[in-house]
Amino acid sequence: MGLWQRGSKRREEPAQRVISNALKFWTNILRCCGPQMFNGLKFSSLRGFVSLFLVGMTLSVTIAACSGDGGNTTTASSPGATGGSAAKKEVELTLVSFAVTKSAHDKIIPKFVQKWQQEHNQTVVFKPSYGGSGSQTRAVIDGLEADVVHLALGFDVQKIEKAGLIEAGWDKEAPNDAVASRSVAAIVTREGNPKGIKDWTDLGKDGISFITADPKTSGGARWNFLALWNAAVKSGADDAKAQEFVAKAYKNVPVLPRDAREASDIFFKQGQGDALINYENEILLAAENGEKLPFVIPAVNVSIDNPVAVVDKNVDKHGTREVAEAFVQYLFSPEAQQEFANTGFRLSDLNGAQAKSLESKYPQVKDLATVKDYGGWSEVQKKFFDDGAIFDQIQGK
Amino acid sequence: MAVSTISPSASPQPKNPVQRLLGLSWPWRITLGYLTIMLLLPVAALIAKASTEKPADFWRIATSPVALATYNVTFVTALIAALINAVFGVLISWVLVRYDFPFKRIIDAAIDLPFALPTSVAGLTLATVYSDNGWIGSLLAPFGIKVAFTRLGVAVAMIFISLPFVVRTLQPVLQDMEKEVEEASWSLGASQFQTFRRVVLPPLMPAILTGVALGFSRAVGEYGSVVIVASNVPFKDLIASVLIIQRLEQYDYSGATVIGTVLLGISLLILLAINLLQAWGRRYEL
Repeated sequence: MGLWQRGSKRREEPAQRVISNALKFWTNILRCCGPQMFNGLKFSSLRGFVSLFLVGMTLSVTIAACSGDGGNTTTASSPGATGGSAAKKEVELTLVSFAVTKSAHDKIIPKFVQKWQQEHNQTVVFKPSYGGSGSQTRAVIDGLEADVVHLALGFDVQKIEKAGLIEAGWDKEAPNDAVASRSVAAIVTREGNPKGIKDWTDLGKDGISFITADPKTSGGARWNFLALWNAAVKSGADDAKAQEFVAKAYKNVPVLPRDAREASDIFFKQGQGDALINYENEILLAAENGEKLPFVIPAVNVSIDNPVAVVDKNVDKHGTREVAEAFVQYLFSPEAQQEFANTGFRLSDLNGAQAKSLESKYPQVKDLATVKDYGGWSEVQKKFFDDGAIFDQIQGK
Repeated sequence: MAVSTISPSASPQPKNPVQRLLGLSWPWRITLGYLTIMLLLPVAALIAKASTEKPADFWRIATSPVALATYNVTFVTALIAALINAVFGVLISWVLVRYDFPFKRIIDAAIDLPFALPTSVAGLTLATVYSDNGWIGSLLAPFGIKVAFTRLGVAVAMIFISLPFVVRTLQPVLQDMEKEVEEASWSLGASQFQTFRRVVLPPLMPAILTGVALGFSRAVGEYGSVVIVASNVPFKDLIASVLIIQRLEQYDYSGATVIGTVLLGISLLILLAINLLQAWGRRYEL
């Protein structure tokens, strides 16, 4: 099998030259810094090349296998291997959540692991993943095998349901419509509030500029839009009047950042805008990081609900249904709820005793609308955010 | 099995394409296989996904007013950025090749920074430096020039990320050029400018165009830095990559791939035009 050079006709065509040079280059590299095993390799045969290729592949796979597993040395059970969870000493659970919940989950997960260990004598190894709610949702739909999802809005969970991974009725499987954490929309202003911004209506006035994330790239920013719309409706406007108000307000938005975190950055660090609409939890977090500015929580507001769900198809595949459901239930326990409260979120149960004890940090909002008041997420999405819907109309010329 | 021919044209033409494929030499097989897996299949997948839209819908999405505005912002700004980099890239590589000065090595290495920096970091840095209270932005603010969160900011981000291309393609060519040629030109009475235009520039042209083409295509596809430094307001400075992400965020996969396909098509056309320019520039080569 003479392959590249027969030695006789050395017609060095470009392609051949490139390849032989590349091979020389790699052999030299291997000679210099490769271990002893490569020294004899001369690529005189395909076998040499293939074997090196395989060595490379093996190495990279090994490295990937070593690094992909956060230092824990279990061999993953083959997918499809179902069995009673009690039979296994260890169980893996993949949690997919949106970025801001990381600090809360970092505290909650160890507590749950300890609890499960005591009750079932089994170690739960968590694989958490955090990112923007929309991109996390897409990842799950595209094959990230999440056992449990905790997302910024019901619409994202509904999308996973539509993809056939979550069975209908997920919002009845946990307390309070499966909403594990909540927040409300707030308006941050500059020091001393020179423009006197106190309410949603002030944001539509001339000579004011405010920052809010782009509802088109940030699922969460749809809550902000809804808050503005809701304020107009609650003041007695019909749809046409409400659209007029929202259009006027969004004319005052000089920058539409990608997500809530970036909106905070642009407002606090780059000094853009007189006001910022953001979630209360994001603002409380910024305050903890030294970005203290006055903010108001308007009395007319929307309840920002972050639902949690078990991904039925994946837990059945992994045989992790029991532990996944237990974890979802645990998120509603007082100790887990306390962790959410510590990281800026409001409680799942807004009117319970625990919520009363946190009243100083999270004052009750008088007039709280939910997404259900507007027909649920699919309706809201269709009416406001789809192509050519109201948000597109107010952004057009 | 083992065939010593290299190019398919050199072998006697077998009848059917399968035989012809089998008759290829290994380098060809590997090249074809690699290109298929790494390049052709993903592009085919993109086009296949985009073609799930009905032709009328495809056209409607591709030519919606917002989309048209993003093409304008994306391609015009990318082209301007690439041309600005062409001018300054020639200057920088000239200085780096022809002059010796302290810290030359460090500056030479720093040229590659935009490649190494995660683009979102680049965007954040540019937004901070060019915003109204940033180092450069605060100097420009009194003149009423806003850079961050305007189309100018998009241009700055694109210039930043495509800066190394022209420099890196030009350096080896400049190193191979002999200074004697210029000296001969001067001794024959040509002025500095004539020498530059008639003697120095022509052989550099292909390399400059390669750099411009690379920089341009990189700027067209840029997302991470622009999304942070732009205000992302449609008809103002929304770029096509951000529009694609917006469509993905609405789970509109096919709509996103439609815009992606249009980007790909226009990029190909422009790269083709640059290649033709290059061929035309080669007339000077002896």
